[in-house]
Amino acid sequence: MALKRKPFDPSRVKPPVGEELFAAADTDAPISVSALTAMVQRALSKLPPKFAVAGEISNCTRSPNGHIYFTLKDEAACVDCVMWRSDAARLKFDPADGLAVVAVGRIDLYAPRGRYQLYVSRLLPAGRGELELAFRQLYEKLSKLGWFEPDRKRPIPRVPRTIGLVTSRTGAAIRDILRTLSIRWPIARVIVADARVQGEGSAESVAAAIGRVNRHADALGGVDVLIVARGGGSLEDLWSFNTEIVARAILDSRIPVVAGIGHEVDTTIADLVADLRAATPTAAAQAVVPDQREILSQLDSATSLLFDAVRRKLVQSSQQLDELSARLASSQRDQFTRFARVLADLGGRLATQHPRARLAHQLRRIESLAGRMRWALGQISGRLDRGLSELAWRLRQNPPSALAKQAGQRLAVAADRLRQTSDRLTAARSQRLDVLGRQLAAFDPRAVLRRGYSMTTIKATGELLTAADHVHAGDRLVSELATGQVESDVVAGDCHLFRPFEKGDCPPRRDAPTKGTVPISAKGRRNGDSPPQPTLFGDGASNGQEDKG
Amino acid sequence: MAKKTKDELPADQLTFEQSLVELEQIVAAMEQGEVPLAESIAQYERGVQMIQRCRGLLEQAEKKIELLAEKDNGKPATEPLDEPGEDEQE
Repeated sequence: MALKRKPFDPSRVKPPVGEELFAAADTDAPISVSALTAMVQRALSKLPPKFAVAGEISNCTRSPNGHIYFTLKDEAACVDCVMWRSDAARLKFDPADGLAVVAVGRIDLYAPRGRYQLYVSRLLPAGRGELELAFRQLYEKLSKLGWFEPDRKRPIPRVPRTIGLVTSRTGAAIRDILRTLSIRWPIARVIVADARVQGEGSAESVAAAIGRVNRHADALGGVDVLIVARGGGSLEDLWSFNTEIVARAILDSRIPVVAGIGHEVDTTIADLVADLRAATPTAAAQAVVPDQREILSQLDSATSLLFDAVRRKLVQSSQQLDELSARLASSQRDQFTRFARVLADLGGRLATQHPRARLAHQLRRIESLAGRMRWALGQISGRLDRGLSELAWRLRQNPPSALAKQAGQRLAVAADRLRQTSDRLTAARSQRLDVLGRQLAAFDPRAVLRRGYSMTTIKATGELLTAADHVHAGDRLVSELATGQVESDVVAGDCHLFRPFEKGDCPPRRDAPTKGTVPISAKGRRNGDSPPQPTLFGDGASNGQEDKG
Repeated sequence: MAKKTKDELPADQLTFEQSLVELEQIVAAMEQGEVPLAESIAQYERGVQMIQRCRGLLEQAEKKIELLAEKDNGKPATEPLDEPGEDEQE
């Protein structure tokens, strides 16, 4: 391993011992490696006992037993470095490759390897504070682990019964906290877990106190919230609250943790991990309990609120009741009115149907009819009266005696005329009767028969025989003579044999109002006192029949 | 909030916070004004009980400050702690 400071100039170095040592090099006699190394070691020991070397860390490794090995380098050179465990434990930050540092230590030679090394007792970040770096490193690590996540935070109970307090029992923080609690919420029980809050082992002490309260929480009857507090101080003083061990204890706490560390400007890792961060110990105490004065005034207002609400409810209910009963009453009234109207209507209709009412109605009708009748009678009698008086007047104008005389005269005239007319008619009819009697006598068939004629009929049919071909052989004929009759049988239908009448053979009539040869009764009436009869010829026919029988 | 089960609890068995929460619920419910009359009177009575319970608890105010220690057997032990007035150690 070449030394940088070459060439070595022995003339400038005058070590107190070893002049002969360097002189020995001039000889050709060989020396052992160990002897050479010892000489180099002896030479190095002449250097100042302590260097502060600035450089950049590379090849940094940590051995299982806690020693740290790394190389410190700049642009042109490098030097191996060792930091023993005892020194490494005091490191606040984590040495890492690329980190610019100042390493403080001594130079020595590691004989087995033949290397010289820097034995580092202290390692400081270059350019910024060691603690600042440490804080940044831990922050980044825990942030990656999610320990600061807001959704990991637990709610703080509003009114805790028991409050755990991790702090120094002799510090300023406990005084502030207990005073605040006694003013705001004196009924809370406070359990103090004493802890060293600064110096060597303070982080472990704080972590242990947090663990202790958690462990015994159940035995203590439950702890609702845990305050971790420390009064203000330097960054160094607060350092235990920036350690991973305290952060982990807070994280692992089953009890919600409120952190109140340092002054308002201080923010520690513990603050960030805690479920609630308060700026100061006093603020932490205020955060965990309500103010009894506020609670008392809330209770007062709740009392009046409750009273008002129930009174309002009562008033409201009674108003509703009033309103409903009014509506009920009015609806009943309406109902009654309706019923009353219906009843009155029905009663009225019923009354009209009552026998007495019907009687009365009919009486009224009768009366009205009677009235009309009376009126009509009055009219009639009036008319009659008027007629009568008119008649009477007329009667007076034409007294009965005058009438009788008049009538007698008219009667006499009429009787006269009747007598004259009757006489006239009687004479006329007598004359007429005489004429007719004579005419009738001329028509009597018997008069013809007396002159030798006969009238023959077919017996079977009664038919008057007027033509020869009307009879057949075997027919019986009846011939009426002037006196009596002769029945004869037809021997042969020959016209020659029996031919009393031929057309044109009829004897000439003297005066013949009659038709054909219808037999005429000879019962002529000569008497002229019988009036002319329209049924004269009918009588004659029946007479002829009578004569046959 | 299991209001029913809490309603069954006598007021003097409730913690301050339970009483306070129940009181707040009662007040909120009554301010809504939508509870039947009988229930609102019952709630009023319950609310008054809660108020009395809270006041009672506040009046009991006595300082209970204990120091937690751990015995050799790992059992907890507490001793009363006077309010410290000593010099602060920083």
